[in-house]
Amino acid sequence: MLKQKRAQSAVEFLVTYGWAFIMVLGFIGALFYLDVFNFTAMLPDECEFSSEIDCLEKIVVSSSDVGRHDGSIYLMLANNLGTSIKIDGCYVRVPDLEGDDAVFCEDAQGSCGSGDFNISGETWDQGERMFFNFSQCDTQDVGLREGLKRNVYLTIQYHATGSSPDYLHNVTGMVFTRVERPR
Amino acid sequence: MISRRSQSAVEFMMIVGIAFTLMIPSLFLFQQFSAQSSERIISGQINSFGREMISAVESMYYYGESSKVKVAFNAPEKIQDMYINAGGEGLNEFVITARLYGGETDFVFFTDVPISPEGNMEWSSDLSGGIEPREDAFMSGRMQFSIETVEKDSLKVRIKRLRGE
Repeated sequence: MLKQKRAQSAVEFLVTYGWAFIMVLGFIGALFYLDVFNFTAMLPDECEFSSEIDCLEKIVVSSSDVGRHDGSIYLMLANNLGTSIKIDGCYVRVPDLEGDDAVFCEDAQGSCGSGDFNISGETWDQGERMFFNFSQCDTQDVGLREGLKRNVYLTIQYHATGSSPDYLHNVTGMVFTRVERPR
Repeated sequence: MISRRSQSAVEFMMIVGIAFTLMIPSLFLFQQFSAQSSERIISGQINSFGREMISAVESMYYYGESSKVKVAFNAPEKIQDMYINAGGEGLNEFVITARLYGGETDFVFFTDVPISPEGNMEWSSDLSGGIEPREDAFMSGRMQFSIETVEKDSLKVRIKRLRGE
């Protein structure tokens, strides 16, 4: 008799508080779904270069569909070096999960004014804005997926047009923004 | 009595839990902001020093022969290299290489004043006194440079690092 009573109260307890338990689980699930525990997403967008380069606009695009290699990175930068420069190359990289850098997009298609051209070899005048477009990048291979916020590093190699072409320099900048879906 | 004690224990756990839930993301956000502002400060310091050096170089050149000035700099840790590109055609450059924003960045300061390349690229060995410098930090701390005009074939400015002065 006593055993039966204890079993009954146990069942009643579960029936009464089971719903509450399920609701709490659902609530926690909704919080995860809404990215509340993704602290990285709370950080503000950044596009930081040293003072020589001014970052005016940044967009990182990558599909979440497996096997698509249509990632793109668009940057609008301004030359603040105080002199005209000639771009000798540029590449984008992302640190992988082991912390090593993965270079995944080496050639930029640039447009500055009208028309498209490869940005390497272009002269970039002081104060001029240049549009850097890295397209057809394997963004998925380095873990850039739609909706995530990740660091992307851009390095530009250049020499000043007024100096010797042997004096090559690098300028590296960091872009931290949410990866968008391709349109 | 037992129920009261367990109630206060649950309340205590809830308060501590809420405090931790607020504290952990705040610490994460603070750490990120602090890292970013530190890089901005270093970038500002390097720019300020580079401009000061170039300004001193140009002043000494236009003052003429036998001019000399000392410039001091508190170098931050992320500086990896410092050198002069001179002697080639066109502009001369004073370059400071630092590891910022996830990669190497050259801070280049241009001048059309002729700089003597003498002593260039020897700063690292000067500094270490035979000891290999750390790979991640070419030099840091307070350092002094003398900037003076030298006359050989034509008037030039020489930048020299001073030690123990």
